[in-house]
Amino acid sequence: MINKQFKSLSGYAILGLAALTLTGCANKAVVSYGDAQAVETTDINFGSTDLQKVASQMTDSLLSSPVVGTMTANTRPVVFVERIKNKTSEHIDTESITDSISTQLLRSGKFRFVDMTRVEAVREQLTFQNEDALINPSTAVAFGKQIGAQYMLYGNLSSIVKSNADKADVYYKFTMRLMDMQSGLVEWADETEIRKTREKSTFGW
Amino acid sequence: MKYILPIIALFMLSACSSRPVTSGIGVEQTTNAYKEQLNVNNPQLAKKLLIRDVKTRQTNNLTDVVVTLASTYKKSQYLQYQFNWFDKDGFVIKGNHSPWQALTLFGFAKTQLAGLAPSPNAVTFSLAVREVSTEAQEFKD
Repeated sequence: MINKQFKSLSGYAILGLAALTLTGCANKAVVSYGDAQAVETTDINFGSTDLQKVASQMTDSLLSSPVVGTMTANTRPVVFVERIKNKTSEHIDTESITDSISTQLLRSGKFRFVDMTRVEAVREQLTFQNEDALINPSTAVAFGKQIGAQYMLYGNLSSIVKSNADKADVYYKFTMRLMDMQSGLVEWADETEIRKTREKSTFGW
Repeated sequence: MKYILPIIALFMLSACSSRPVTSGIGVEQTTNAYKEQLNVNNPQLAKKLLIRDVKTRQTNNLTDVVVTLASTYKKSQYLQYQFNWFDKDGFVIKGNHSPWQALTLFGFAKTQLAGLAPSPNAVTFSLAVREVSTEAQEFKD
């Protein structure tokens, strides 16, 4: 009798424990700050970690190459970033990659940049300064004084995606080149690769 | 009956484990002696992973460093590493975005982690290596 009661009691206890377990892990909306530099593996698409990896590897490779060493020994060459061609099947903001790379190169103190994405805004402002009666002509920034870029930085991002029922695999190849605008010679080139795989997990839900 | 409680306990642990172990091993270049630079915050990881060697040189006026990492474990290890850079007074280089990078180290394999200073005034570095066992990085054999 007592044994039976104990059994049913322990049954309730287990049910209660199970209920507690479930409520403890209920889907509550929790907002928190994460580490922006952390490895992100939400899905297989091009993500922040890939962007950071590509940018830091390309910058390191460019800054440590012997050609760039002689190029930047006495001067800080002026570079313009053309663009990274996105040849993958995804929508990727490649300007964000070139922004990271050019920022890191600028911070190294080895290169100077001209920004082709703001040319129209500069032209508009200079036209205003030089042609509008509001501006004191002695303070207007003159036309024809800007410095032309000596080098062009450009590249490609391509991907190979393969998947079957249980597995998906994506391979990214990022190629970057630095061209001397006068001679047309490619002075530096490098590529970096990323492989990401998604498999069905045996455990977990 | 006696199996149910451990099973429930296991479920509780597995379902709610939201705080992965993020400590690891590392190198901190504050002193000159190589042995004193090594940092072990996770002794369990240190049993499987060794920092063998630290080499630095100057490349194009920038400090260039390679750290040799060796596995003493038969299975693959899924790791992450991060370099941080400091100037000559020990101040962290501001705005230095050095991401955690994923690394797969196969059983008993050796690899070199390469880091390059972001600017000429970055002279010392610290390196952290950790394994993160989040849901997305289940440990595989």
